Amino acid sequence: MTRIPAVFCLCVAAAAQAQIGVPRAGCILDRTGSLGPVYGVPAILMPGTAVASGVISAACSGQLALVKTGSALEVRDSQLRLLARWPAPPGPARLAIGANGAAAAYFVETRELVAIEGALAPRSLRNALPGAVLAIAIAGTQYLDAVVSIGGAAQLVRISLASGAIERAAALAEIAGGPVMLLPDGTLVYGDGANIAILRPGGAERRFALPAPAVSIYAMGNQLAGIAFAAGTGPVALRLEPGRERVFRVPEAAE
Amino acid sequence: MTGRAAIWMLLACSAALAQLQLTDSTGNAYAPGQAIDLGGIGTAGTTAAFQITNTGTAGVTLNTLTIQGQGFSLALSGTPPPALPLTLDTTASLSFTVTLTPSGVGAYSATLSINQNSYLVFANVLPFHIAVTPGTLESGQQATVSVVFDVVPASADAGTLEWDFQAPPGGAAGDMGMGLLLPAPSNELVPPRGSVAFNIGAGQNAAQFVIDSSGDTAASLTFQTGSTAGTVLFTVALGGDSTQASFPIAPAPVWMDTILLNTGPGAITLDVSGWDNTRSASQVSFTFLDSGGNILGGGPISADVSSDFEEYFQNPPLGGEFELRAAFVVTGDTSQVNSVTVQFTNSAGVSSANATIAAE
Repeated sequence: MTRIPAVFCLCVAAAAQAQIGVPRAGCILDRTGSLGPVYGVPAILMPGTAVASGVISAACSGQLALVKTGSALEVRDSQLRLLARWPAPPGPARLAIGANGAAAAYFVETRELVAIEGALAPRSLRNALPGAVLAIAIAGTQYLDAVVSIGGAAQLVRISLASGAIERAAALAEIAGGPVMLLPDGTLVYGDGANIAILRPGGAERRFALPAPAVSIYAMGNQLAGIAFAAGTGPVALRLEPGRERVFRVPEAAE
Repeated sequence: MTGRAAIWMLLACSAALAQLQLTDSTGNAYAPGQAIDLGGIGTAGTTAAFQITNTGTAGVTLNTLTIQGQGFSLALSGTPPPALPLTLDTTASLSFTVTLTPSGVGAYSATLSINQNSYLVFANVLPFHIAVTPGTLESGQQATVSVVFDVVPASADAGTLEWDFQAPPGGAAGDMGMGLLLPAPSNELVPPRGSVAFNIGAGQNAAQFVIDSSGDTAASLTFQTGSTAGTVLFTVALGGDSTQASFPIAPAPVWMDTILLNTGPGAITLDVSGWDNTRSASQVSFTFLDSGGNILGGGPISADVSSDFEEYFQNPPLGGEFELRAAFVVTGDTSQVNSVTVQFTNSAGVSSANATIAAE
């Protein structure tokens, strides 16, 4: 009991080191393939200057960003500064960033699944997964989950990050043929026509109307999903925290 | 009555009237005989609030408070509303509203009488009005604005919508998170002051904003309210008519949108993202709790952050938005920490928010 005050004996001095800056919400991938930071808090965001072009797929968390271009896979920090770049197959990738900094990528064209650990070259986990991989997520420190579509039926497949072996597969509730995003806790975010649905692991679902059918969903930032549309409709973001879900528009940088 | 008596009576009335000051809801004062312009309004009508204050040094009896004019009505505020005559003691005030319920478009006028004094009240009822959703604005929102025609025009026309974010007197402007969010293909956030042209076709009931040079239009525009207290003012000009609608964004206690609490060996870090639309944050306190809700460390850890925030808000890139990162050096077992309560104080009040340890 008497230890507790001592535990915090240096806190006041430490608090004086507080830093104040602009809140960083994550990143935005625009329809031209430019990736840039986005600042602010939800609903009053402000885009920053693009730092990368030719981006096909991206995922951003509070700490890291994974970026897939036509020929490379990149890891960037929270400021979108380049940390590492490796050659990669052409085409899009499904990307995942775990809470502990682990990351993974699935190259759609070659159907290869790789794990990314720090600045080390990506480690191949599997050369193929059954069906079409729609989304992946790092589920803790040992597993990676993937949403796959086999013959039109969706499954949640759990894969060992150590061996790449499929640990289990379970049928998922029917999800429409639109884009899908999978969160580490098993929450599914998927497009269903001109709606976006958030399906929690317990079965609770929330739906929001979109201005048009979603073309892609990506991790924009911590608890933020970015939703892109076909030309003619501006991007929106979906706040994902339970109880605070909402859709709002995201401004883009002037061209 | 003799001439001298009449003069004395006039002087006596003027002395009494001079004690009653008429003001509107924005604080504008009206001298006796002055006109009161309710502006261009839609066919749904409008209600304007006023106040009569005894600014003299002696009580004044209010015998008459009426309005005469087609479509106008007057109501005293209060439950139940006071009856006349009544005496207003010195510094006392009486609130009332004037409502115009028009029967159609056109010019409306009325005479407002306060004892022996009178004021001309007038309004121009237009076939359109400015519609903002939601009707009450606050910081951190996205809202929409449109120009709705209550009387469908018989012929095509064109006009402009101007918008202006107005910081309060002495307040800080410069909020790049506030502004109109143009529709695709632009998707740009344009600054907190500007204008956009619109067209209205014959038989249409909503203006179509011209959003780019190729002629693309939209029936409503989204705008971000930003993170600075003030007023959003919209002005529509169409032909020779114009109308304004102002939407206040009230000063608010600090809004903490997200708090990320992380612990590690010998350290606790906190990231607090939010906004302070008064830009006056002065005090912050952190109370760490264990999983049983017991306060750790003997109580809140408080800090005076006024100079830090004052410096940050000197030239803020995003209005009142901020991220505060606080690092605590700890000499014991940080795994005891389960949650934190953060409390902020600014000129609008005190706010608090809780966060638990971020999931691994």
